[in-house]
Amino acid sequence: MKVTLADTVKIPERITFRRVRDEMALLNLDTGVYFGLDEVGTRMWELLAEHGRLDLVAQRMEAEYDVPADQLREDLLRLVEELRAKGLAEIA
Amino acid sequence: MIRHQVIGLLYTRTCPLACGHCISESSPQARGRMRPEQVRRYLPAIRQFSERVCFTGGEPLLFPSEILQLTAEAREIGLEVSVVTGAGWVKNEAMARERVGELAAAGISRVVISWDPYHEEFGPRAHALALAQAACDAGIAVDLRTVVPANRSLEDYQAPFRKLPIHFETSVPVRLGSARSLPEADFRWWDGPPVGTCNVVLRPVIEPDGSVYACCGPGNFSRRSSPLALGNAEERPLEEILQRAACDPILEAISLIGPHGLYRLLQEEGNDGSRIEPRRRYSGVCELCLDINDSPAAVAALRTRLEASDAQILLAAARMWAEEKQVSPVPERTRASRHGEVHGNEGHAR
Repeated sequence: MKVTLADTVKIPERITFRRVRDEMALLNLDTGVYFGLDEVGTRMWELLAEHGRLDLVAQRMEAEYDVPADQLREDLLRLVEELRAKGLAEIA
Repeated sequence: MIRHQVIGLLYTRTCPLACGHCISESSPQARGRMRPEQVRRYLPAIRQFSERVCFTGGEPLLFPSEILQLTAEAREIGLEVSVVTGAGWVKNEAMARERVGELAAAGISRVVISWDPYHEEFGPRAHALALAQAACDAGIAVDLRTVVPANRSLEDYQAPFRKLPIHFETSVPVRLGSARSLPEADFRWWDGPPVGTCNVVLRPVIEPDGSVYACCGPGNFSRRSSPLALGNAEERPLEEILQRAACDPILEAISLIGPHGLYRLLQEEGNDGSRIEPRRRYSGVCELCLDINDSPAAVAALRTRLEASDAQILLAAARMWAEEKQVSPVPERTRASRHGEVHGNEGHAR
């Protein structure tokens, strides 16, 4: 099922994360597999961890970044799809 | 930044035993002994960088009155104190109990007994057992450190101690020091650079001449330019030497991703002379660690490489894994990030 802005994202307990300078390290504690997010992905992750609701995350990103709203929303949904595919996030 | 697990004082190279695997090449003929006043100078600096100090050797309990006095002084400044012994000084059970009683009274909290086929060539097993029993009875924690040749059974050496509440440490011989003369069959061989992390790099050791090494293994066999050779505490303040070690990203990386992790980071670089030409085979991670850290070009490349964001992500993941699992991690690799995308790669922590 395709992710939409009406969805809420949950970070599984097996995933731990830590900011490294402007980036984020994500680690799956079940498998030892790790991932990195760049600066924008890091901010999206922080907001996902804080709010969960994608519409709220999109609103905050739009307020913080001088980027067309459509592009930001597209980037956000694509990121969440990737996170979900890699087991780093779930749709609540 | 590293917090040293323990800082070792190689109190003497002399030992009643002359074990074939001894990495510090200790024996009855070996010379080199720390002076008590040296230790008194070092202890406050040690306290700044660790909660624990360990008297090792050689056989530090060849000098029991000095070790007892220095233990009491280390305890006074809040250090936990341990001692590594091969039990070569034990003549009988009564002697073991008497000495252990003194150690307990002085405040020793842990006795590490080295016991394996190499030690057994020089003394009866009963002495090591008597020492372990006496320490347990005195409320001192006991570690049994066993180095087993690849072609021998570990159980033969641990089984007699299993009735005691002790902790077992096991390893295979490291082909350095006296062990270079051991038969090839004693070693476990890897066909390429071996995977594995190293916690020993979190346990620097100070030698009788003041030399400080990041570990009690290959450090002593390193070139002066190696990050494993930390300096000389008779020439520079020990605080300065330990501070530099605590902040060295290469040493932390050895503990987090192992020499193999460093090797892989180097191989990812262009071939600018910093790549390490692999040996045909290895007897363990120490040889790979030596090869990398003895190469000034490799060390320089690593210092740059470890600053890059993908390496920082790797180390952060390794730290999280270590904290969570209380073991050393080896995540595999990461690649450069792109805008808003997850990146990464599979890597199992073994």
